[in-house]
Amino acid sequence: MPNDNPIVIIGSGAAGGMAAYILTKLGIKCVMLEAGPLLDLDRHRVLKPVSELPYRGFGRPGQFPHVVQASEFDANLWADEKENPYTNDPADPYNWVRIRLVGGKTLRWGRASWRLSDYEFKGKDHDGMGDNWPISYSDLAPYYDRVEPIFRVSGRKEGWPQLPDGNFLEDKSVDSQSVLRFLAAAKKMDIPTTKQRRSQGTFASSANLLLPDAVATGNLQIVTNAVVREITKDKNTGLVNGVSFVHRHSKQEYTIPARVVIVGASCLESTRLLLNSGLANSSGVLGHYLFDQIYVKNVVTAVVPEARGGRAPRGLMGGGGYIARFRNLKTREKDFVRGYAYDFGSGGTPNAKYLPLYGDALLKELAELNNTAFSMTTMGEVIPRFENFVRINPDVKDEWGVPVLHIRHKYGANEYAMAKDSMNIAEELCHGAGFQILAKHAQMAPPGESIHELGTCRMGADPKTSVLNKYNQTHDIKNLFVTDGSAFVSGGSQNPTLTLLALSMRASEYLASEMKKGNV
Amino acid sequence: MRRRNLLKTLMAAPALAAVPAPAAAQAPVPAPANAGSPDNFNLPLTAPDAVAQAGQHFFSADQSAALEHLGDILVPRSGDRPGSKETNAPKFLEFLISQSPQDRQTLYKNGLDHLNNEASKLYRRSFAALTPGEAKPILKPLEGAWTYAGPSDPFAQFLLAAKEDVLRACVNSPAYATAMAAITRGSSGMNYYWFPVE
Repeated sequence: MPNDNPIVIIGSGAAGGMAAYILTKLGIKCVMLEAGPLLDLDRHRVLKPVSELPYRGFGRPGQFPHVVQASEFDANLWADEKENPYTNDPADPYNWVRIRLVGGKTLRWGRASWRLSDYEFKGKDHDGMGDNWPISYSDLAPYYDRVEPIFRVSGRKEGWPQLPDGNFLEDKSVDSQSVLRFLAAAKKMDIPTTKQRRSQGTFASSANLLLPDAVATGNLQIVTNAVVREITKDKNTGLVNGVSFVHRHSKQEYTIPARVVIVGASCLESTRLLLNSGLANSSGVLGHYLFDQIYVKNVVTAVVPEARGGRAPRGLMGGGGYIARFRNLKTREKDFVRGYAYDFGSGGTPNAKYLPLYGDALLKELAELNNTAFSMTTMGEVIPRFENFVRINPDVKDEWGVPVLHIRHKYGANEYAMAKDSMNIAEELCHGAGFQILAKHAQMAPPGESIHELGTCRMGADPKTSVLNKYNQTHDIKNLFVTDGSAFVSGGSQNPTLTLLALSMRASEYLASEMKKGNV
Repeated sequence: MRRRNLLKTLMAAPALAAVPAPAAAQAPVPAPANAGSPDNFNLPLTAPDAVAQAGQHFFSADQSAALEHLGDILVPRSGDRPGSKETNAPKFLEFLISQSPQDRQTLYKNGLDHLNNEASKLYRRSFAALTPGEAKPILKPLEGAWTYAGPSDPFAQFLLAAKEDVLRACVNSPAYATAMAAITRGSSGMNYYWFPVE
């Protein structure tokens, strides 16, 4: 008997948004459950000076102990930490950053859009560490080609194997003199530099780039304020058959039948949902292999000396760029495996905290250093390890009575060594460009802070060691898919959103073809 | 460099304070462009800081006096740019700290007490009665080189926190915005404020 129930998509961010975009255009009825409301750009925001905010830009103290990205301006966009708690050992700090709104974290993402390469997909073949993905770059390349125009990614083609080129709006912008000096210093050290690759536009979110097209097909219904509690399973068929959720405001309980369930609620929320539902974990690895990327923010802050005292000629300061991974590409070069990338930027004033001064001397030096800064941030690969994991903490429940996650994620020796190396290289690069180092450090931000959490429903060829097959379909249940960052097997140093968009696109087309064949 | 340019580098000064400060309040307020339109409530509004004194007594009188004096020393008035005193930064920080987690409150209270204790030990006076020169040996930890981890001594931690907080409370204040509106044409410090979304 044909199943007329809709596909239920959980989550409206990059993963869920792309699934809806693809499936509805193929004529398939979908219902999307989003835990939060929809923003109205006319009604929900207003331009204000910081001086009119009640806390003068400091924000309400203690409101977001784990969300360093939240400002007093946008505090109302981030998921409330009291309503949405999680636990961790105080010795293992973890910053879990969430947004519960239509569009999810794509409303606030940095929009950096890099492809992964076979240095990631087939990393184990390269250096014996970690695991290979069940797909290679060539499997995903056609989908990257289609995602980049939707997200209007600009960049510059370089022809590097570790950072494949894409379908870009070409970035022909001119570099400032300080950036050119930095690029020359990098070239001398054989370190590859390029322009940022970034999604353009005021908003580059699922809510404006994916969901409107999906809604226009007439095949998508979006249910807001639907906090999903559990995915239900038919005991006879072993297939999932519906989703239960609770309304965010009324706390009324609902159930919706589903032909297929696509989970795209963000890496850790999706994992929490599967764990709470008792699904897709015959391998025992669900929740394990949590990883992200190390961030050493402002690993070096330097000063361009010619810009001191407001003497910078026009064109000296401004702009920035990206250094692609260069470590361990050909031979094992260092005391760590894999590698890291940098963002760098020219301009602005160094933070007063770096200056050992106060009073008139401080104010004078800050004026002297106005628009002289050059700073770099490291983003490095984290090796996924079984012992970094999330599990359900049955003793703590969220505002809607759903058991929360306990998170355990520690960085290891490889990450510490990488961070230190990145500090030394950054210093060398800045020296080479003739900049003065004001401050340097190798302290990684706490795990989670990059908002690049990945890996807890990993893909794999072997159902005994992975949760998903190569099409983001759970090995255990053929009508249950997970299309967000939890599917990653490794992540390199590249921001993950572009890849998870491509994965979700590919998985959705595979699902549609399987449905057509009658396999799902 | 002229002193009036000194603070140009700090976070940003909103070009238009929405509201004139009390000193400027006598100036005629131009009619809004859409005055007379029946379909909006576009009325000029005033932030409390612009017209009223904050009533907050979280610190003891001695602690408050020490913070006010510390603020003056850390961020003094600089030409046309108001400093800690003119922007009521200490009063604002007293409010902010009163709302803050306990470890922050303890850091400030102990730090302010320590300022007074040291002043008493060295000069038999309160910290508020010291000249900047006399305060210098007490503020020595502010002259240490920056490290990511910061100092382990809580008093040094307090001083570094106070330096950052006073500076930020100052440049983000309504009084600073008003002063900057008179001397610059920049419009930074503006951003979208997002209302609660239901």
